[in-house]
Amino acid sequence: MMRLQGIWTQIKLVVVFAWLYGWLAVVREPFWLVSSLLTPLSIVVIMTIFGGLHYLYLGLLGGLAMTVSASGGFTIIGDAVYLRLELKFQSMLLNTRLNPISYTLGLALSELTYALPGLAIFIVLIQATLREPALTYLLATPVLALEWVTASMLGFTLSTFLSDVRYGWSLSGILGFLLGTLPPVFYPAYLLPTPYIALVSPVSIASTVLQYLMLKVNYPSMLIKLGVLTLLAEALVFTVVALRKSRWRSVK
Amino acid sequence: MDIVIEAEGIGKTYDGVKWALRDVDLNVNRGRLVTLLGPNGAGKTTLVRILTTELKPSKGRLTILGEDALRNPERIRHRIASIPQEAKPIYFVTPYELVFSYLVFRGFSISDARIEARRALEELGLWEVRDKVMNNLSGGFKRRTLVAMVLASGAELIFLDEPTTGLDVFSRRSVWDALARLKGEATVVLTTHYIEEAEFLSDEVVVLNNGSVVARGTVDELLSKVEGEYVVEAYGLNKPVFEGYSYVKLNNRYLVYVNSSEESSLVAREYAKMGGKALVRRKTLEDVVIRLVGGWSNDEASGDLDSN
Repeated sequence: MMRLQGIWTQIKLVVVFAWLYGWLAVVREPFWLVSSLLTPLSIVVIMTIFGGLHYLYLGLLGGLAMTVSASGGFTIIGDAVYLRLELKFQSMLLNTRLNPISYTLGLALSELTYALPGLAIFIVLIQATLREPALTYLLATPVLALEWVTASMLGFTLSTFLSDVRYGWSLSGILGFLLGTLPPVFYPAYLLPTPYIALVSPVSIASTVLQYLMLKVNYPSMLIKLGVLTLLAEALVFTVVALRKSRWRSVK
Repeated sequence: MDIVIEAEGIGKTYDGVKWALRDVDLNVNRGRLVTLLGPNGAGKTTLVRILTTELKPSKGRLTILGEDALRNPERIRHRIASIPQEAKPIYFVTPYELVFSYLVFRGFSISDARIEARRALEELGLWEVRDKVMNNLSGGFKRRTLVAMVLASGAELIFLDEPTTGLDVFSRRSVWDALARLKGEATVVLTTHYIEEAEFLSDEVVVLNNGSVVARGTVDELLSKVEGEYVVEAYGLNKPVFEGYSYVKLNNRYLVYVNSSEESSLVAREYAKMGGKALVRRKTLEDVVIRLVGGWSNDEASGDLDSN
């Protein structure tokens, strides 16, 4: 009973953290929100101009996958380092009921909260153009959730190695490009020598699964199964590593 | 009176070679306000980070609030509150939102957090700006909001690492008033570079230098460690001309410790005759610290340091 109460308390604190650092940011800092959407939307616009309607669909799905990881996940690197080194907020939270695991999850949820309006825009555009049934979204949501967990936990783990705030912002941008643009996120994996290259990044896995579900791209079913399994394994591994790295006590 | 902090032989090295703290012993009794004083790099912040259980010491034993703080830090963390050095509030939230959420993080119910946040903001003169975003507030308001967070927390042990740095004289005094009201309720460990703050607030002062405790005691006890009642602060000449007096050289000036106002006037006049400038004032805790650590900077020579 005590244990359940403890878990409930931690869930409440995670939500309060997401309100403080995610929701209030959405309400008070809309410019950042617009700027975080510019990269995926620019890619969609260019793809549509040069590739036509089919590439608009691919671009929107890629934009959705990229926004989940880039705005909702990798940005955690910059924010975690900022809160730890610049504001010393992590040090202040040391002496609260918020435990290190809840802090990590709260920060991840803040990033997702901050990305929600952007995600909503992409979902509205996808629905307006593709008119997918609700079932497709039900299948896509767990995949996007796994992508978010993987990106957030990988991002948080990397943030613990950084000792300069500027590196945090840079690294989230670099990861966004390396994992969210370079691999087959905005273009189909069948254009590559082997579509299995899509497995290199959680973002391209999510994008490939979305293309399979919504655009009925003829990928081998083995690729989709392997993709989901890889995403699941990455989410688990990075979560365990992040939670191990999220201890409060430092030696430096 | 029970002991809240019992630190024994605390040492910290970051690189295995240079020691930021060496064999620090510290006992703090419940309800006391203890100030750590010392020059930059003396080890004050390192000690505070260890005492708040954020940083692991390289050696030593530490008992806080009756618990082994090195083995079971999680048992005491929620009984402590701290403002780290150079901490800043999140810039897009309001003072009310920050204090309120901090209290919820500390385990307050939503309704209690609202009540206590209001009380703390009113106490520190922040209620009028409670709904303004931090970015639009001055540095003084931001700093006071952080102080309001820990004061509202009801923690048994509070650490404030240079909480008034950058505050104007009015803001600083509102923080002093709030800290003075805490006396007897909570145990407070304060670090500061404002000596008058230490004199005004402290039950006890601990002077650190090069990672070691060089003196500790009440303000009066520390004042009695340095001879004389007056200080002649002399500058403008390269050579000291204070035969028979104890003095310290601090950068380009000399602090001469004398017993009476007549003597101090005499020394000041003599110095002025030789072309230097001098001012006379009563001895303060600042003179004690300068005397004990041989000056705030490392490059000065001291006239009579062996009397330490």
